[in-house]
Amino acid sequence: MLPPMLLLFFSLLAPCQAQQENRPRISNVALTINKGQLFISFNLVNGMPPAMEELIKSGVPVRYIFNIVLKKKGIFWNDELKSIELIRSISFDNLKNRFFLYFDYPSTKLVSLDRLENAKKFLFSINKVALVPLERLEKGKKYTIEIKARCEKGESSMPFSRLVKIFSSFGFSSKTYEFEFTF
Amino acid sequence: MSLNSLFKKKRNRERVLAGIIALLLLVFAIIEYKLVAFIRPLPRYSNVLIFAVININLLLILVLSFLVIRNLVKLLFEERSHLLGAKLKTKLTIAFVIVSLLPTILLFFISFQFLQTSLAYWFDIKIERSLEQAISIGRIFYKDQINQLSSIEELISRQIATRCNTNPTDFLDEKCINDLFSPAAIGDPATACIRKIPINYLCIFDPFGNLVWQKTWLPITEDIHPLDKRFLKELSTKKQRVVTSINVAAGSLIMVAKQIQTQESGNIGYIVIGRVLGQDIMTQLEAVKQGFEEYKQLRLFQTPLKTSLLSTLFLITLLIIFVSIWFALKLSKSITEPVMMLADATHRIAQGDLNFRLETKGEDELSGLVRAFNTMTRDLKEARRKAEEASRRLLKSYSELEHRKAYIEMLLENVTAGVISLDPKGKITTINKSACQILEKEASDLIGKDYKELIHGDDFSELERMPRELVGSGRKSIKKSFRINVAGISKSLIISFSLLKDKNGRISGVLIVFDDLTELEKIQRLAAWREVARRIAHEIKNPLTPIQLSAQRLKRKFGNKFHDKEKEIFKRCTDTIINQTDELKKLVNEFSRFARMPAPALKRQDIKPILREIEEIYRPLINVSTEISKDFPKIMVDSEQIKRVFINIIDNSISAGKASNVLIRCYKDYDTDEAVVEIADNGKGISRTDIQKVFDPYFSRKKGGTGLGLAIVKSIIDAHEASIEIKLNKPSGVIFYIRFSIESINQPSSILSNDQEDNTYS
Repeated sequence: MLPPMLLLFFSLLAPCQAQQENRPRISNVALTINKGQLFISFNLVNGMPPAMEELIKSGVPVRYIFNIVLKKKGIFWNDELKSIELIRSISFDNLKNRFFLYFDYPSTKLVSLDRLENAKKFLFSINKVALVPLERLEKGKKYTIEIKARCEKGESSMPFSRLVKIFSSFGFSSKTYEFEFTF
Repeated sequence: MSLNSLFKKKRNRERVLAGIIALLLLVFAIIEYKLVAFIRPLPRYSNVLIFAVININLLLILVLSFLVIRNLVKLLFEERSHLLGAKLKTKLTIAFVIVSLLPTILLFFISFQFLQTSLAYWFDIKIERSLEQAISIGRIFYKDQINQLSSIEELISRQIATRCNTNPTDFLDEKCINDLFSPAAIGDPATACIRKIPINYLCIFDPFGNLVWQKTWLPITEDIHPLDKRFLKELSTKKQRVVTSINVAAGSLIMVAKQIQTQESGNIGYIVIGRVLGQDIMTQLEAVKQGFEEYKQLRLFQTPLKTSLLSTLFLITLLIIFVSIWFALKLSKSITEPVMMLADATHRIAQGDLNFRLETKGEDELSGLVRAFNTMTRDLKEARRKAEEASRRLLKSYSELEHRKAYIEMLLENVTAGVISLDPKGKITTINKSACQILEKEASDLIGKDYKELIHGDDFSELERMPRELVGSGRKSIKKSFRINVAGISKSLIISFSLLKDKNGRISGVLIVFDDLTELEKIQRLAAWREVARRIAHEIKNPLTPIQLSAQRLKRKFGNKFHDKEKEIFKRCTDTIINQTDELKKLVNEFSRFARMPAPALKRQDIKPILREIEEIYRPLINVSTEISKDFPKIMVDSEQIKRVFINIIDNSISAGKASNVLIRCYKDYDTDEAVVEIADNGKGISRTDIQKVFDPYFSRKKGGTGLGLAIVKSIIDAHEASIEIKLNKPSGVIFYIRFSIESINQPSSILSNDQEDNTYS
């Protein structure tokens, strides 16, 4: 039998843990080498909360920005080798009943999809993003990769949008995913 | 520092502060607006900036509210401390605040309700349903268009696959496609069917993505860029129909793309078919879409929108309230401050500061009042200047009058004549010192009393007649001599009655001027007696010696010639003649001494030896004792004459008063600054009526007295410029007081000539 105070502690902790689980995060990070290049792949999990989904379906474009930074570990500070910003946008055309996705990396691309689930897969799966040529990496050295995703609400034609922007909190920023590897 | 300048400084400070706050509010509001409106896309840190700006705005509103509340609290304290103008200010502020607050609060609640109602209307289920239905219609229309295009695409694909896929090497026969859409093939039912279908764009690619055939129909006028290979590649992977659209001048070109497949060859190419949806339809569809999307967004942002709108409304209301309170305070201050300034100025003017001026710039009524006040102050200053000038003149005149009055009073006080003024009713209005001395009365006892109070008894009947005589005679003044009795002493007065008339000739009173002639009469009488004595002495003295000698000769020659009884008679007669002649000689000698009183040879000397000599003279007869105080000064006397004074007085005490003891006291009277010699006896004294006559010549109550002893004393004392008076002693006897002025003892009198002084001290 748990004491009442402990029960209260767990009951208070439970929603927090649930919130932590539902928060957007970076996962399935994988580094691959192909044709003398270092590539990175990862997924954004929980990247579209229900409110954001509603926002997209109401016609407001939403931007997902992924920041990838590769650093070489130093004694005092780390040297930045590469910094990439990927921007992916999604919008929904209520008339056509289709989702339009825009990719800017590695080249600009527009994709239209019927289903949101497919759109999510397109948006949140970052595959084989070229980081640096292997010759830039030194054998036996330690490197860190920081990945961070954030989401911003785009402009909308809604009246009072400027005013609402002050009071609404659409958009998020994931925790920075950081890992080290030795080449 | 004046209250006016203090007010001005404070007001300026508050104005500057309020101005800065208003400016900052404006600046930060603009920054906020710019941040929200124009910075796109908003960077992450901009949220912090926006909130910082909002917070600054809130802080500024708080500062503004602090200022307003501070002013209100200050007003409350002013009201409690009963500061001048505070009540009026409070009333005005309350009135203005109520006037502005009521509609503002009312408007706030109405707006609040209106907002709530509006939002409720916005998100009404009917509206939502209508919008959903509208978008559904749009979607259906759009889908229908797609479906139509898909059907056509199916039809054309089938035709191309069956007719134009003849050559296995060339996947599509271009000529066949041309024929399919050429007018020559009008008889062909399939072609006719195709041509009936309203399409505006048709494009056919080979399986490798190369353009084989393309055609546009009106309203498309521009060249349509064919779909790129990558898109077609996606088509090959999907094997499904792909719908896309592009904007053209006539509207929106909806395109449906799909592979052209045959069972035998598989993919033989791609077909893209398009139809233009007119601008008007697209606009309406877009409007429906936008309306729906905005509605959905509004619904999504319902809570923040409501919060933001209400917050804005609340802040604006708060701002209006603060501004209205501020305005009310300022307005009430602008009204009460001039009033307070006026009150302060009035107070200062009441205290006599007429140089004080109020400053005003406005053109309103209060400014007019202030200007009028300044004019009044200036006039007051001018009037005061004139009044002060007049006052100075009056003071000068008054001073002159006072001086004159004092001079006249001094004259009246120092004049030896008695001066009394009466009003028309006979009441005494003024009386001088000499009059009081002559009448032996106090001025305070007489002022305001009837003039009957001046003289009592029978003497007044004569005095009473004088005013009547004066009025009856028609003269300005009349003069008469009277003898009146004052405190038992008869005084001889010459009284003058004069009518006092004003400029108009009306009688405003009577002026009585009188002189005491008693002493003058005495002097005159003394002089007359001296003359008489001199003549008697001269006339009698001469025959006395022959008479005496003759009588002695008769006695010597014929005394022995008579016998017995005749001899006795003859001897007694001749002795009588001789004795009486001696007496007459003595009398004549007294007369002669009285008449020929020599001028005293004054010498400063001690009185002690003189008194010792007197004591020795009278030791066998009576007891004469002396007391001389240590501070008794040496006095200027003629020792022989002073001895005569003592002898005559003591002789008089012995012969007239039958005194057995005489005490001579010498002391200094510090009150009058005189050297006093008292000669007191214990004799029978003298009656009150006779006491004033004792110094008169030939007044004597003793048998055989010449009445010249005390007259000679008086003459000697007068010659010494001293004074003598006689008072009754208690229980019996009399006291003579001889007073020598110490001033005259120490210094020679200024009225004495140098010769006299020389004579005196030689």
